[in-house]
Amino acid sequence: MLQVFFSSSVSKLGVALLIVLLAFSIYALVAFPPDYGKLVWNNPKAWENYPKSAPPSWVNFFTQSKLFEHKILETREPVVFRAPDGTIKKLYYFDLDYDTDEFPKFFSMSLRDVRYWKSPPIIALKLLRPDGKAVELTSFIVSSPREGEKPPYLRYGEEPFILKIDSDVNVWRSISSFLKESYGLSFSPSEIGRNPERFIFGSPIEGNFSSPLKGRYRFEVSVTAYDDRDSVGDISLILGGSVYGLLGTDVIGRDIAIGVLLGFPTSLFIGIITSVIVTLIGCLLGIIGGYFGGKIDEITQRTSDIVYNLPLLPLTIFLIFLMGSSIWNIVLLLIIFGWPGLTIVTRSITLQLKEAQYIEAAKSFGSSPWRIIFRHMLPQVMPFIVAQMIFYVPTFILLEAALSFLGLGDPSLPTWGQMLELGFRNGAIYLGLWWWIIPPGVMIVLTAFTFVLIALGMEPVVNPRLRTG
Amino acid sequence: MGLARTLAIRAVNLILVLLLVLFLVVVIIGATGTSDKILMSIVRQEVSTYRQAISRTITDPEALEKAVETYRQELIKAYGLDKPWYTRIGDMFRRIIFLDLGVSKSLQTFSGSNKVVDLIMERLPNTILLVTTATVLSFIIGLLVGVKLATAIGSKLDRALTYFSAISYALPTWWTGIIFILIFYFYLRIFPPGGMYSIPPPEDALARFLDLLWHVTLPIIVLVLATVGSNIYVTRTVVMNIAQEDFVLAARAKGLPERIVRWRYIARVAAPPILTQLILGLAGSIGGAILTETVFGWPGMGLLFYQAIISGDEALILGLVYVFTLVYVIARFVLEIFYVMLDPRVRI
Amino acid sequence: MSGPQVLCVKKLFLHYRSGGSIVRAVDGISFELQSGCAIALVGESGCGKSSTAMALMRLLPPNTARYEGEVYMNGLDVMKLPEEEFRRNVRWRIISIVFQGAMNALNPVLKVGFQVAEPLIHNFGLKRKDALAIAEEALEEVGLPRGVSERYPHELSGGMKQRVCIAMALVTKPKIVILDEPTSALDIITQANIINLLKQLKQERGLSYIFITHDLALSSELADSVAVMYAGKIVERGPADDVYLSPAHPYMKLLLNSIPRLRQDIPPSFIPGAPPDLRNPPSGCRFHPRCPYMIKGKCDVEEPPEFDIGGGHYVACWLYGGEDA
Repeated sequence: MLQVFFSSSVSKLGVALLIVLLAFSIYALVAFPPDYGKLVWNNPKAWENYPKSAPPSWVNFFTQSKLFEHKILETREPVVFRAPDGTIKKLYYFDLDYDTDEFPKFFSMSLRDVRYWKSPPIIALKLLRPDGKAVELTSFIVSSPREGEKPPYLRYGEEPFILKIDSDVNVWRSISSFLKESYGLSFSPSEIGRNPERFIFGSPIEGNFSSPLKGRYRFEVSVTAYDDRDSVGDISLILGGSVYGLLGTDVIGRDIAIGVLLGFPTSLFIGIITSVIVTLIGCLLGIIGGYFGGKIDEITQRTSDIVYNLPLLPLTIFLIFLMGSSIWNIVLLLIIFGWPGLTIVTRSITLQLKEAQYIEAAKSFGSSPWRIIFRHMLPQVMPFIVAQMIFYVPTFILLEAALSFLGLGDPSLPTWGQMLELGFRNGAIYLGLWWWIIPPGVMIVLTAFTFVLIALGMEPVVNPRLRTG
Repeated sequence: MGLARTLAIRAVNLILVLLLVLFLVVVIIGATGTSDKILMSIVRQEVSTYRQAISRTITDPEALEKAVETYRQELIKAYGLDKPWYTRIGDMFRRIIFLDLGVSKSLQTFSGSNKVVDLIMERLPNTILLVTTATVLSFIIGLLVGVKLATAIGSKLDRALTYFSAISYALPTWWTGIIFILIFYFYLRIFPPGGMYSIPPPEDALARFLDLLWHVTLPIIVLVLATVGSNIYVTRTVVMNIAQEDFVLAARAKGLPERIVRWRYIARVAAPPILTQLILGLAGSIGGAILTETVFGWPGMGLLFYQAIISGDEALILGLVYVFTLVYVIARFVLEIFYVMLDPRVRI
Repeated sequence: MSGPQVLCVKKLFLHYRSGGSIVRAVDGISFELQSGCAIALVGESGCGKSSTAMALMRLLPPNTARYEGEVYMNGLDVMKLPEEEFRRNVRWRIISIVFQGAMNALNPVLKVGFQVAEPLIHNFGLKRKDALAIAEEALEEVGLPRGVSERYPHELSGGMKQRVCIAMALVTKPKIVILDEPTSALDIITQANIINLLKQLKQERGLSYIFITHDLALSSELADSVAVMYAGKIVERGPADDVYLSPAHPYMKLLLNSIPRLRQDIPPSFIPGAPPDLRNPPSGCRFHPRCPYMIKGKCDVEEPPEFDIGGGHYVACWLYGGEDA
């Protein structure tokens, strides 16, 4: 049977795609904690530092003037040395190769977990430009110990220290003096404050800093400490860009690539679980009804007839609206509406098989009905059942996506349908935010397509008339 | 004749289905308190109308409030809101069937009414127009292409069809719609981004009609694409099977022209199973309508449904669920009429 | 056995392509049929009988590899006719066919009266009303009650459907009717009725039958002459009495022997071996692997031609010709 299945190129392609899907799902499950959805994905604060509605960074390959790619520079190991005055200096270096034609949208520094034992350390941020000029952007002392506090003194443990040059007047003043000294150019702090990035990254040609100075920039965060045990935790520098990442960001700033990745296990899970349960229930009812007949059959038939004749989407929407949109509600409703299809067909197959001679023979030497069902009938029906089950998977994946698109999806589980819902609601189509609209949809299609291919590949197994060669 | 009897039985079945669904719906909304909410908002509406009416005659604020409150209590009693929900099942039934559900929370018709029944009736024809046209088109294309392909089994075209059908099945209607808008509106600017007419709609009748066509093209293409794949596939399979039957051979043996064989012996016999496919796809068409209208902002019942969900408008949702089921049942019945006419074997 | 020759078949071939090899279903057969006579074409399943019927009606499958020969109907070589002429002038005008398994030979969505009338409407240009009237009569003549013409196939029993097919085959008054196992799906009583009907019609109208069957006893009821087919070839043919009472070919002899005798105490015999694969038939005489009289060096090398053994009785066997007689 497996041989026939694999003989067609359709099945081979299907299975290959399935393996890819599984690989991505496993990776997603392994790389992210289970509550990532609730804690991080749905938490706008976590995405504060990301650009909003930004296209993917590789669009730069296709444009003449390069857009600035959003960068987050993180801590390195500091260079530590003892200064002649006895203080310990820790220098953290961040390098940036600047080659785009756009200025960063913003620039900020964030600091966490400062610990000190004696005197509060001094922290300074200095920038060395490609043309050799250096500007000290800021310098401050960490807050002193409070009344009754004992060492070690912890600062910026829960809330990090954030410096945004867009909103810090002192930084503007430093920049202003820097410009005067290094280039002889005169700009007031408020002028600078309108767009400080322009001045620290700008080229002084023609004296107006209208285009960026390309080359290597080096940031230096220096910590002047008074005790060997003093330490600083995470330091990161964020340069706001217009493009970001593999698939860009959505309106909240979320990395769409992550969203797409998280969707893999979710859709596979929904599709497969629902499909398996529906198949089990449907087949069992069909076989039992068909084999035993009588009252049971009547009831199952009537019920499945009625349920089968209902318009699925409006009723499902209505019920979810009343019941709330948790994933289990959705699965439950899909099962409730989904089982009759299989029951009706399995029942008619069972009726046919029941008349077969070998069934009569088995009955005549006293096999129990269950034995007959499981040993004799089930194997015959099995390929068909498996094929149907496979075919149901994309059906349910698509249904869940449709429900999510209408806003009825489970908000704690990131799914592709939900990403599209948010995009649609925020007018992404009319704004041309293609990176938000295309990838999740493509993934839905690809996943559904995979299972359809496999189901098609199962056809020759089930229906020998279609076998070629 | 067997024809009439069979149809009568099917009609009764479908009506039973409708009634059963309504019953379940009424029970569910009763048990979840939704029917109470709906009735209460009807009461509120009537109270405020009353208030407006009598405030012209009664000027003393205290007396006014008293009169209004008395009226309100009367209404509550009249509507049976002081009794548990299951005593009101019959009433709820009647209300739903006649769409006597009060007003919508947030939406209005073009003529300014915000009664649920007016809203639904205004949007109904637009949905019918869209879905019927798309279904008919999809059926015809499915038939023509399917028949063509049935005579070319195993060829490259046939293989391409299998892949096309698979993709067509896997493509979510609504996403295709979104992509189309992206391409044809945002990038190419050929088609409008949605709606039924331009704003403001053209005066001249011909221009109006063309404007309608211009707006309806993308939604119809999307709806057709959703179902045409399976139509072609089923047609091709059914025709392929039938072409191998003995009676087709017998027809040729009788010396009948090939044209007759193709129409009367293959197509005619293949029609019932293909029609079955249409019937099966009907529920999907209703769902497809909801999604497509939402994407394209097509002012039909589907879009209304979406808007009702977003604003949590229970009365409107209820009315729409009823009308959707009703339309579905009627459409099914119409198709079943065709089926019974085409296939004498199912007549009792 | 009277009348001029109504059918003369000379070296008819029909080969199919199947899974890379060629199935030689009809491999050069020749026979004649007089007007008003019935010839029974007998043989095992898979020997090419039905393919012969298809070949005569030019109902060729898409995988036909070879189709040639001479087929004279009323003196006209119909093999030379282009497709359209054959359809209009030969099918159902000169020759018609009653298919095996009438269950499926009728269109399920059309009334049977109409199906019988169809060839009259399309090929004879009759008006619908007139054609239907004639069809009604035809149905009556095969013993069906009035009103059957308004029925659909699924409303009729197997026997009734078979009668409809017979009426359908006769309505255009063809000269030759091929009956491809017309009763194999029916119970014995209905079978007898149908055979009687066929006999009656043959007498009344001077029809010529080609009666294809594997049931030797049945064919003996109706046939004036017999042609025995084996592996795509006719191995013996001649007047029915001669062939049945004095079979010449070893195959026919063994076949008749293997019929169990009800009132005699003879143990049943059978023919050892199995019918050959038509894709790769044995060399020389096709029957030689199973033949108890096989002459080594002759039967397995050279195919025997037809030898005339008198009275219109022919046999293709080396026992009757060549050097040894």
